[in-house]
Amino acid sequence: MTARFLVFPVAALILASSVFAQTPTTENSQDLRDSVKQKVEEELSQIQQAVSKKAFLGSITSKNEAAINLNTYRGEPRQTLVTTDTAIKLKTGRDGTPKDLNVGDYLLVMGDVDSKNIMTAKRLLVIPAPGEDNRQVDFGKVTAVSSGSITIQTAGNKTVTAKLLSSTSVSKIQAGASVKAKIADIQTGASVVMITKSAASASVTNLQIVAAPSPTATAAPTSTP
Amino acid sequence: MKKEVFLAVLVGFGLGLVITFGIWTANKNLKPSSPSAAQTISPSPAVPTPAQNQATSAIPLIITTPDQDEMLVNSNQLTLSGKTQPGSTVSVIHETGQQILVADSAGIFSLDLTLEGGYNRISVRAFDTNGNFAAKDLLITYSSTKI
Repeated sequence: MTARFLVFPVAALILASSVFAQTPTTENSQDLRDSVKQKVEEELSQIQQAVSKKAFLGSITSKNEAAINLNTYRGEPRQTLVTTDTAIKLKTGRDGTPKDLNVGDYLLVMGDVDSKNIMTAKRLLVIPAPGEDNRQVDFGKVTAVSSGSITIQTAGNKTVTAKLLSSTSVSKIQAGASVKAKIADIQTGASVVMITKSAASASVTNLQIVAAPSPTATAAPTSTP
Repeated sequence: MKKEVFLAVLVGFGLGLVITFGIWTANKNLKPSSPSAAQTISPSPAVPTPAQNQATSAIPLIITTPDQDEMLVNSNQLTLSGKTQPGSTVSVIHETGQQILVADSAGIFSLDLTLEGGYNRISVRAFDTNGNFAAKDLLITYSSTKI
């Protein structure tokens, strides 16, 4: 009898309070739906990121049995996990194991990257370190030009002199588009963007006249960019 | 007897309160964060895409495709496109060559590249007529092996 008295009020109060708390207004229901939808979208986004395929290029800075830390060719740290499924190819072309990898080795690692940019390596290649790219691009004003060479002064007051070759591609901007031009079209004072290849002496590979030389700073032709 | 009933009512009331509080807490946590908080974490226009790791802020430069840096692709054909200041001169230096092109009146530029097998370092520079520039570097790896 005592138990009945205890059970009924407790059950009634629990039910009443739960129903009261769960009775949502239309606005609350919509909020809940929206929040659930948002959570699902966030999860989906994370899953999509998790399956994105990437490749890291860099040298080994440290390693343990399961992970390799890399310093990329741009000096950024990357972490990659090595599993038993990771195919490892050594410089010699033969298959390797994680034990064959040494600090300082240059790697191209391909695999799946998670939302924290940590890669699970699927394929790992030990490769020679990439060579320095000896090409550079400069913007400046032409201070001297002949059929064989060009000198420009950059905005930072750096002087760049380079050989003009028969293979040098020259273009100019005309009516908003890049069109083929001749070296003879380049005049002192013109603004140019040029790509040079450094060797014993720099040579120009690509050259584009950005704007025709203007006699005064106030002259601003509308056709030039 | 009356004491027991009173106790039962009290316990039931307490339990009801606990459950109500639990549901209220759950509802509160499920609600989306306030708009002001969302605004503070929205990406700055100055850092528009995850694909870039190096940029000067002098002029804008956004690489729209490829949309990520360090991408792994299984085709050797790649369209590099982006947006910068209208009329800017854009240079692209890549493993197989180099090009100079000009952004259109909307600042959009596009270039089709043929990738080499393995890694491809791509360097994009945009210059306006005053010499202000922006720079982006990308690494795209082409592999025909299924990863």
